[in-house]
Amino acid sequence: MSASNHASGASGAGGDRLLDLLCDRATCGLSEAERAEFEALCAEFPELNDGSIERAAAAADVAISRGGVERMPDHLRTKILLDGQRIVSGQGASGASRRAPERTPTAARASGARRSDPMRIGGWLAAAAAIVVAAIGWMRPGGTGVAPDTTPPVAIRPASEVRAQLLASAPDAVVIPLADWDNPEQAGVTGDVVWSESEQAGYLRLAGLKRNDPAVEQYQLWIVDSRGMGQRISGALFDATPDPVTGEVVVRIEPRIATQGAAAFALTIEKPGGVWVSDMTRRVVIGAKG
Amino acid sequence: MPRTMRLDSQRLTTTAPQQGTLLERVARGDAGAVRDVLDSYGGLVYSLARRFTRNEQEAEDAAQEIFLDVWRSAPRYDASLGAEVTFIATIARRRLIDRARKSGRDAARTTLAVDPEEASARLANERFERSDELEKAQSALATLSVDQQKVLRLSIYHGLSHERISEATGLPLGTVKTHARRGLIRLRELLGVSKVNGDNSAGGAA
Repeated sequence: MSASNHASGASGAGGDRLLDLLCDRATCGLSEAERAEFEALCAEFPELNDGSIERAAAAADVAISRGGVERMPDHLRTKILLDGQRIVSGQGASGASRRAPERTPTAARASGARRSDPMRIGGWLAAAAAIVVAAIGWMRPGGTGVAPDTTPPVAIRPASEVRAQLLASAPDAVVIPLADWDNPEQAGVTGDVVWSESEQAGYLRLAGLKRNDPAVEQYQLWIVDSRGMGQRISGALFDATPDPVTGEVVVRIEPRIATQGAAAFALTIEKPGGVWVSDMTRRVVIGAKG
Repeated sequence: MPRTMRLDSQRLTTTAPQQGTLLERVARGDAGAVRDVLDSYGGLVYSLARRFTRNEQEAEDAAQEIFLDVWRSAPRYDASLGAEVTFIATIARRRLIDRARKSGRDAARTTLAVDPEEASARLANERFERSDELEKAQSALATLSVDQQKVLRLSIYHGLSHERISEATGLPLGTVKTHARRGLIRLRELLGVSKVNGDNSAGGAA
């Protein structure tokens, strides 16, 4: 008997319907009504619910994903590792494991000590002043720009090496200094952005950024490219986890739609999860390419 | 040759002998296996979570939940029915799809522009990526018709509903459903992941 027949064989319409639901469940999920129907049909045809459709979908997903797997952030890995060892060794699951994960010291260390690049950012403070003055007028609050995606690509990573690697390996990598932005909510935050247009990626580095309460607010980085302020792009959504040694926060910038000549970067404070359209009222820092 | 025999079989088996033992070690209470599981599959689970969720916080919460399931489901793993990577990915996908449903969202999670074929080189280089089962799954996918591949990619990877796939491709809704169903059944046949008796669901019943 083929697998197809195995699934529907002599089961008739009920079996066929269950197979449809198994396929839906393995791909896009079931509604509450479908789930009730599914459970009823499983009771009638238990032999058809052997998990094989889900496994086939999972195998296909892994095959399709191959080559696109990212590293798990160190702080998350540490948390899962500790929880897992506790569970597996029989001490039971931590109730905290289902809460929003805390940033661990490992995560903070992951930000790492970062070596500034004086050759590339020398004198940026002076240049930033002029840039910011120009950008302030350009990026007034109340814009109607749209963030590109409901899944802001955010990653707080062990970034010191990859930031340096980006600087060294991407011929078009530039360093853009950041400075206070027009009556900022947090004054005195400094830093820079390393950005490679060809790589469509970069790193935001900040000093003096206050820790946020993720349940209340998060930081969101906006990219403005040649399409202008109205089409500003969300480049990162993150929580501030200063490195205990350097005090810096380093975040990967990873826009989900391609930028077209990123020209400015601006940091705001937004509600948890970020926003599609920022009113840009809670400003922190800004910088633009010279 | 063992490798050829595995490729000739209709089973998803593993390349490295020790890979098939990780979940067995977890099931035996070997806490040291937790690190090995994370080394092997942490990036995969994290990437799946990133793909199914809206932001980093959700992805991290989901990844933690998935691994809780993995530790607790390890005793149910049956190596004769597939590789560990498939078992873990099945658990991950089920939980992520459920999360998306409960939040009232489509399972869709990435823009169509974010496709693994276009992904940059920020790779985890995990052990499973060098295993036979992926070769076999990719070969199995390649045997499907172009439309079946397209529908399954949009459905499985991008998480689009049949209705959205119909809109995106211009294929009639009924055709989309047929491609999804026949494609998945064909994959199941080629991968040999069906069992003869009993429940082998990775994470238990729905």
